[in-house]
Amino acid sequence: MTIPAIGSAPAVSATSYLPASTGSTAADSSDSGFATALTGAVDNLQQLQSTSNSYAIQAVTGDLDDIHTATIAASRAQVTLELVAAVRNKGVEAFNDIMRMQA
Amino acid sequence: MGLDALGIAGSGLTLHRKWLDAVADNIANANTATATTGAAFQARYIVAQEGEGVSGAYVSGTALGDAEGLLVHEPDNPIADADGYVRRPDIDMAEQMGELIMAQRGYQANAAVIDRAKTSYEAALQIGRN
Repeated sequence: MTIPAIGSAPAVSATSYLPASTGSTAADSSDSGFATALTGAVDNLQQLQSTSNSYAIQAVTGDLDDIHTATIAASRAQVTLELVAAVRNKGVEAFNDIMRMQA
Repeated sequence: MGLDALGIAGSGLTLHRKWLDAVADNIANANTATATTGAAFQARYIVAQEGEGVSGAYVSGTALGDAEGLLVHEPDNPIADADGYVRRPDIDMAEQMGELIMAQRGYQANAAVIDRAKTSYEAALQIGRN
Protein backbone atom coordinates (compact mmCIF):
# COMPACT_ATOMS: atom_id res chain seq x y z
CA MET A 1 0.00 0.00 0.00
CA THR A 2 1.25 3.50 -0.73
CA ILE A 3 0.92 6.50 1.50
CA PRO A 4 0.27 9.81 -0.32
CA ALA A 5 2.61 12.67 0.41
CA ILE A 6 1.33 15.43 2.64
CA GLY A 7 0.35 18.43 0.58
CA SER A 8 0.98 22.00 1.57
CA ALA A 9 -1.48 23.55 3.99
CA PRO A 10 -4.17 25.72 2.43
CA ALA A 11 -3.71 29.45 2.89
CA VAL A 12 -5.36 30.87 6.00
CA SER A 13 -8.23 33.16 5.13
CA ALA A 14 -9.92 35.64 7.39
CA THR A 15 -13.06 34.47 9.15
CA SER A 16 -16.10 36.65 9.52
CA TYR A 17 -15.42 36.87 13.23
CA LEU A 18 -11.94 38.27 12.92
CA PRO A 19 -11.55 40.49 9.89
CA ALA A 20 -8.16 40.47 8.24
CA SER A 21 -5.72 42.96 9.59
CA THR A 22 -5.24 45.93 7.30
CA GLY A 23 -2.30 47.49 9.06
CA SER A 24 -2.20 49.80 12.04
CA THR A 25 -4.85 52.48 12.11
CA ALA A 26 -4.58 53.20 15.83
CA ALA A 27 -2.17 55.58 17.54
CA ASP A 28 -3.45 58.88 16.26
CA SER A 29 -0.61 61.34 16.31
CA SER A 30 -2.82 64.11 17.79
CA ASP A 31 -2.87 64.96 21.52
CA SER A 32 -4.19 62.30 23.84
CA GLY A 33 -7.99 62.59 23.93
CA PHE A 34 -8.14 61.15 27.42
CA ALA A 35 -5.78 63.75 28.87
CA THR A 36 -7.77 66.59 27.30
CA ALA A 37 -11.09 65.18 28.52
CA LEU A 38 -9.76 64.63 32.03
CA THR A 39 -8.30 68.13 32.22
CA GLY A 40 -11.62 69.59 31.11
CA ALA A 41 -13.49 67.55 33.69
CA VAL A 42 -11.13 68.67 36.46
CA ASP A 43 -11.56 72.32 35.42
CA ASN A 44 -15.34 71.89 35.50
CA LEU A 45 -15.10 70.25 38.91
CA GLN A 46 -12.99 73.11 40.23
CA GLN A 47 -15.62 75.58 39.02
CA LEU A 48 -18.39 73.65 40.83
CA GLN A 49 -16.36 73.49 44.02
CA SER A 50 -15.63 77.20 44.03
CA THR A 51 -19.34 77.91 43.46
CA SER A 52 -20.17 75.61 46.35
CA ASN A 53 -17.58 77.36 48.52
CA SER A 54 -18.92 80.82 47.82
CA TYR A 55 -22.46 79.65 48.64
CA ALA A 56 -21.18 78.16 51.88
CA ILE A 57 -19.61 81.50 52.80
CA GLN A 58 -22.86 83.30 51.95
CA ALA A 59 -24.78 80.83 54.14
CA VAL A 60 -22.46 81.50 57.08
CA THR A 61 -22.54 85.28 56.68
CA GLY A 62 -26.32 85.31 56.35
CA ASP A 63 -26.34 86.60 52.76
CA LEU A 64 -28.07 83.49 51.40
CA ASP A 65 -31.83 83.52 50.78
CA ASP A 66 -32.19 79.85 49.98
CA ILE A 67 -30.38 77.30 52.09
CA HIS A 68 -30.99 74.67 49.44
CA THR A 69 -28.89 76.46 46.79
CA ALA A 70 -25.84 75.87 49.00
CA THR A 71 -26.66 72.24 49.75
CA ILE A 72 -27.53 71.50 46.11
CA ALA A 73 -24.26 73.07 44.93
CA ALA A 74 -22.39 70.96 47.49
CA SER A 75 -24.18 67.78 46.32
CA ARG A 76 -23.47 68.61 42.69
CA ALA A 77 -19.78 69.17 43.44
CA GLN A 78 -19.60 65.96 45.47
CA VAL A 79 -21.19 63.75 42.81
CA THR A 80 -19.01 65.32 40.12
CA LEU A 81 -15.90 64.74 42.22
CA GLU A 82 -16.84 61.09 42.62
CA LEU A 83 -17.39 60.81 38.84
CA VAL A 84 -14.06 62.44 37.96
CA ALA A 85 -12.24 60.31 40.54
CA ALA A 86 -13.86 57.15 39.14
CA VAL A 87 -12.79 58.04 35.59
CA ARG A 88 -9.25 58.90 36.72
CA ASN A 89 -8.97 55.63 38.67
CA LYS A 90 -10.11 53.63 35.64
CA GLY A 91 -7.53 55.42 33.49
CA VAL A 92 -4.68 54.77 35.91
CA GLU A 93 -5.81 51.16 36.26
CA ALA A 94 -5.74 50.69 32.49
CA PHE A 95 -2.27 52.26 32.30
CA ASN A 96 -0.96 49.96 35.02
CA ASP A 97 -2.47 46.93 33.29
CA ILE A 98 -0.61 47.86 30.12
CA MET A 99 2.66 48.44 32.00
CA ARG A 100 2.36 45.00 33.58
CA MET A 101 2.10 43.29 30.18
CA GLN A 102 4.99 41.02 29.27
CA ALA A 103 5.92 39.65 25.90
CA MET B 1 -25.87 70.96 32.20
CA GLY B 2 -25.62 67.48 33.50
CA LEU B 3 -27.22 66.36 36.75
CA ASP B 4 -30.24 68.45 35.87
CA ALA B 5 -32.68 66.76 38.24
CA LEU B 6 -30.82 68.67 40.95
CA GLY B 7 -31.40 72.00 39.20
CA ILE B 8 -35.06 71.29 38.43
CA ALA B 9 -35.82 70.19 41.99
CA GLY B 10 -33.89 73.26 43.18
CA SER B 11 -36.24 75.54 41.23
CA GLY B 12 -39.17 73.73 42.87
CA LEU B 13 -37.62 74.27 46.29
CA THR B 14 -37.21 77.99 45.60
CA LEU B 15 -40.82 78.26 44.44
CA HIS B 16 -42.19 76.53 47.52
CA ARG B 17 -39.92 78.59 49.78
CA LYS B 18 -41.41 81.76 48.30
CA TRP B 19 -44.90 80.32 48.75
CA LEU B 20 -44.07 79.63 52.41
CA ASP B 21 -42.84 83.22 52.73
CA ALA B 22 -46.08 84.56 51.25
CA VAL B 23 -48.25 82.42 53.55
CA ALA B 24 -46.13 83.44 56.54
CA ASP B 25 -46.66 87.11 55.69
CA ASN B 26 -50.42 86.58 55.27
CA ILE B 27 -50.77 84.77 58.59
CA ALA B 28 -48.59 87.31 60.38
CA ASN B 29 -50.84 90.12 59.15
CA ALA B 30 -54.15 88.30 59.48
CA ASN B 31 -55.07 90.52 62.44
CA THR B 32 -53.51 93.75 61.22
CA ALA B 33 -56.23 96.39 61.46
CA THR B 34 -55.92 99.62 59.48
CA ALA B 35 -57.80 102.88 59.44
CA THR B 36 -60.84 103.04 57.17
CA THR B 37 -59.24 105.91 55.23
CA GLY B 38 -56.56 103.58 53.86
CA ALA B 39 -56.54 100.14 52.26
CA ALA B 40 -56.68 96.96 54.29
CA PHE B 41 -53.69 94.64 54.38
CA GLN B 42 -53.76 92.73 51.11
CA ALA B 43 -53.01 89.01 51.14
CA ARG B 44 -50.11 88.09 48.86
CA TYR B 45 -50.30 85.18 46.46
CA ILE B 46 -47.41 84.01 44.29
CA VAL B 47 -47.91 83.29 40.60
CA ALA B 48 -46.13 80.10 39.56
CA GLN B 49 -44.99 79.47 36.00
CA GLU B 50 -43.37 76.48 34.35
CA GLY B 51 -39.86 76.95 33.06
CA GLU B 52 -38.97 76.81 29.37
CA GLY B 53 -38.52 73.25 28.16
CA VAL B 54 -37.73 70.94 31.05
CA SER B 55 -36.27 73.42 33.49
CA GLY B 56 -38.57 73.41 36.52
CA ALA B 57 -40.96 75.98 37.93
CA TYR B 58 -40.51 79.65 38.69
CA VAL B 59 -42.36 82.51 40.35
CA SER B 60 -43.39 84.97 37.65
CA GLY B 61 -44.88 87.52 40.06
CA THR B 62 -47.26 88.06 42.92
CA ALA B 63 -50.96 88.85 43.06
CA LEU B 64 -52.59 90.85 45.84
CA GLY B 65 -55.84 90.08 47.58
CA ASP B 66 -58.78 92.34 48.33
CA ALA B 67 -57.83 95.89 49.42
CA GLU B 68 -61.36 96.53 50.66
CA GLY B 69 -61.01 94.13 53.57
CA LEU B 70 -63.75 93.81 56.16
CA LEU B 71 -65.22 96.76 58.03
CA VAL B 72 -65.35 95.82 61.70
CA HIS B 73 -66.96 97.82 64.47
CA GLU B 74 -64.27 98.42 67.12
CA PRO B 75 -65.00 101.73 68.84
CA ASP B 76 -62.22 101.17 71.41
CA ASN B 77 -59.55 100.85 68.73
CA PRO B 78 -57.45 104.06 68.65
CA ILE B 79 -57.41 104.07 64.85
CA ALA B 80 -61.19 103.66 64.53
CA ASP B 81 -63.01 106.31 62.52
CA ALA B 82 -65.81 108.56 63.83
CA ASP B 83 -68.38 105.75 63.49
CA GLY B 84 -66.07 103.29 65.30
CA TYR B 85 -65.03 101.19 62.32
CA VAL B 86 -61.60 99.79 61.31
CA ARG B 87 -60.52 97.73 58.32
CA ARG B 88 -59.40 94.17 58.87
CA PRO B 89 -57.79 92.09 56.12
CA ASP B 90 -60.02 89.60 54.29
CA ILE B 91 -57.79 86.62 55.06
CA ASP B 92 -59.27 83.21 55.78
CA MET B 93 -57.02 81.57 58.36
CA ALA B 94 -58.17 78.05 57.44
CA GLU B 95 -57.35 78.67 53.79
CA GLN B 96 -53.90 79.98 54.73
CA MET B 97 -53.23 76.95 56.91
CA GLY B 98 -54.19 74.70 53.99
CA GLU B 99 -51.81 76.57 51.72
CA LEU B 100 -49.11 76.34 54.39
CA ILE B 101 -49.39 72.55 54.41
CA MET B 102 -49.35 72.39 50.60
CA ALA B 103 -46.24 74.58 50.44
CA GLN B 104 -44.49 72.52 53.11
CA ARG B 105 -45.32 69.20 51.46
CA GLY B 106 -44.23 70.53 48.08
CA TYR B 107 -40.92 71.67 49.55
CA GLN B 108 -40.40 68.27 51.17
CA ALA B 109 -41.24 66.48 47.91
CA ASN B 110 -38.63 68.48 46.00
CA ALA B 111 -36.05 67.84 48.71
CA ALA B 112 -36.84 64.11 48.39
CA VAL B 113 -36.26 64.34 44.62
CA ILE B 114 -32.79 65.79 45.23
CA ASP B 115 -31.99 63.03 47.70
CA ARG B 116 -33.13 60.29 45.31
CA ALA B 117 -31.31 61.86 42.35
CA LYS B 118 -28.05 62.00 44.29
CA THR B 119 -28.46 58.39 45.43
CA SER B 120 -29.16 57.37 41.83
CA TYR B 121 -26.05 59.12 40.49
CA GLU B 122 -23.95 57.46 43.17
CA ALA B 123 -25.46 54.09 42.22
CA ALA B 124 -24.47 54.75 38.60
CA LEU B 125 -20.86 55.24 39.71
CA GLN B 126 -20.92 51.85 41.37
CA ILE B 127 -21.67 50.08 38.08
CA GLY B 128 -18.76 47.86 37.11
CA ARG B 129 -16.92 48.14 40.41
CA ASN B 130 -15.66 44.67 41.29
